[in-house]
Amino acid sequence: MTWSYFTLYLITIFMMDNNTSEKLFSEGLVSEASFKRIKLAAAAGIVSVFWEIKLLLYLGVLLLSGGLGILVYKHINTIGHNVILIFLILVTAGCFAYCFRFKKPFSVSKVDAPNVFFDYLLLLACLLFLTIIAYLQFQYNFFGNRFGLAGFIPMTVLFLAAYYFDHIGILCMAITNLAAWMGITVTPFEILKENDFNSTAVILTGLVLGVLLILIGLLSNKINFKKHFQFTYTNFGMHILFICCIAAMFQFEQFYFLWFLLQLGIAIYFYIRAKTERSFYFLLVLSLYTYFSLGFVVIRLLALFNWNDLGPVYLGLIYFIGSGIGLVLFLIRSNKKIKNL
Amino acid sequence: MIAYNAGWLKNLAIRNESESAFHEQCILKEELDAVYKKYQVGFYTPNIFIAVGLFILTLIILLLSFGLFALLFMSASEKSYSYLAIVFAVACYAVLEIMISKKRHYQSGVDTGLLWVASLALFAGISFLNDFGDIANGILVFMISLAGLIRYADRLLAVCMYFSFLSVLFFSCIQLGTTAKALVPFVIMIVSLAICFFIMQYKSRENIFQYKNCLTLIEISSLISLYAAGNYFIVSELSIEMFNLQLQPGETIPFGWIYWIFTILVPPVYLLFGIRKKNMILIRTGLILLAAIVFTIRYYHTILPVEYVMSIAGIIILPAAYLLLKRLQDPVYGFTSKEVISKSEIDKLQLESLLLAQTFKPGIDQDATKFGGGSFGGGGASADY
Repeated sequence: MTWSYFTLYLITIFMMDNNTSEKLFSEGLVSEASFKRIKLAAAAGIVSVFWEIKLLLYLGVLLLSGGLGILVYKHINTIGHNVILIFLILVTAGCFAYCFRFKKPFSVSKVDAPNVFFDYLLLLACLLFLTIIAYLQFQYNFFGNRFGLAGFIPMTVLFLAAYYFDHIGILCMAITNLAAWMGITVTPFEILKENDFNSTAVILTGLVLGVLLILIGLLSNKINFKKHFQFTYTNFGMHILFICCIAAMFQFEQFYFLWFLLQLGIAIYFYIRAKTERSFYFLLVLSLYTYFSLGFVVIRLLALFNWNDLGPVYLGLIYFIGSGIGLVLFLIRSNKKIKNL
Repeated sequence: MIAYNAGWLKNLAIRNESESAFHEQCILKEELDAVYKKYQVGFYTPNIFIAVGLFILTLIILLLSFGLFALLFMSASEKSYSYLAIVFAVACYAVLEIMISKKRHYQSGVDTGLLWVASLALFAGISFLNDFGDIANGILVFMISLAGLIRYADRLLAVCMYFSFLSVLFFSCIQLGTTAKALVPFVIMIVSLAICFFIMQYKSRENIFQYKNCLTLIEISSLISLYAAGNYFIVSELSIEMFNLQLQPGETIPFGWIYWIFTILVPPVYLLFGIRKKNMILIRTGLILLAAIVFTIRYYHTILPVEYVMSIAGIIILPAAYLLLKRLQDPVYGFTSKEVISKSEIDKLQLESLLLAQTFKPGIDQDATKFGGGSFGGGGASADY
């Protein structure tokens, strides 16, 4: 399906051809002025290579940041690595300088980038910045053993950059760093504790993180501060919450039903939000996670009985097929509902 | 012929063209509304996210149903599963027809899922039943996908049909003798080229407008197969694999230099022609194949360590893209770097930010995987400690 949409993007270059425009004109649906405009546009035949250039920029940023990142590590303990480090710092500083120089004034609402190039330079700057910080810690033990700090600083810088320059990509990086940072402050305890506690700590941290992200999203909408970041926050938070609940169902086997109820509660919450925000994406995500966890519960229930034959397998298959069809109908109906809102 | 309502397909095409004309500010909003009112489309096509969900669920339902039937009719003979698969495929086609004619599904995920599973089951059933060889399998895939393509205008089936045709050609050629074996790449190149020209010539015909997207995909496939057949890496690997060619270290395949010329020359030629003819398909394919040149050369000649290649490529690509961006602010030679706004802005924004969330995994992810393997990786710089 993704494949379908990808190819569709690759090949669709809609252009009104002459037959169509003449037909519409003769039917009186299109005025003469518009008809002339279409003819002119078709004659000029201007083709946009906007997305191709964006792709090139993205590729360039990924290659450069990745290449320099490996270069630095491969040349540790040689004279060259200082040169590379200085080069890295210079490029990062240069990129940031460009961004500061050309950025549009800060605003609490969405600020468009001054040009396409700006977004990618900022991205390059942030990626290289992360490389530098990691390298400083690795080589010079810059932050000592305060691992929390070493994760906290790049995260803060990323969040600041995301808000200051209004860049959703950087925000995504910042959020993944936030998760890592919360993970890191938890993981050192792992070594001391029992094995099953590890995952418990991670699961609980995940729940906290998920709720936190969703709250931040709600807050940014409420106080009208970078409203358009809400989707990114909610998206991350939603996935983390659902995954944590499902992980917990496996982890705390005796209480799995409670976790299922929690998961169901979250799903209902997002169903309400999907309806109010008209988000088909939320609807899809919550349905699939719930389908999975409900299936888990049913399998557990089937396993309660002492079967001697293939009975539970049949029942399980029939359940999954039936609930799948039910979910298809649910999605189709909800789609209609949201569309007509 | 085509299962979907042809009139609606035509209307949909007119709507799409009008929509893009509106976004290019050629026609007014009222005119667009008038077009929408006049050209009704009765298809059931849900939002893209819902379609993805329906597609996944359709696949799950069909696979589990097949499993259920397989359990019910469990038997000792392996042939019985082949018959089951064939019956299952027929049932899928029947449901698909009903979905399209009664429920009016069009690109809803349900029809795509049913069609793909039906085609696969039919192929597997017939192929296992008869213990088909390479050529017979190729012909079978060709026939199934050709029929599916004509009836449902599916793009994946179009690609399958094209490549199964090439595989039949390939396997027939190599059975003809040693000379034929050596000439296989050229046969494939000539056939690809012929098909490509043929499609470019005829795909915009009014009476086959439903198949335009499919034909475009075959066109792209033929461009790729034209390049692949002349690519040094593919030719030499296939020679070693299929013809048991024994190469000493440092030895090249016979007439290796011809393939090297093709390897390096074809993508720039695509680009050049694409720019001259303003053909975005040629340009995009050419751009992708440029990367193939780099990979092919690097596979045989390790000129530089990979990190140098990456850094240098980045240093070249970034300014080049910047220059393009600046130079094409005002259209040059019919090309512009300005964005042409496409259909649904909100969907696109959400999609883009989802893509961003997927692609940015700075560092090696360690932590997020502990949540049970989600769709995104965490990590960041801190993962390096």
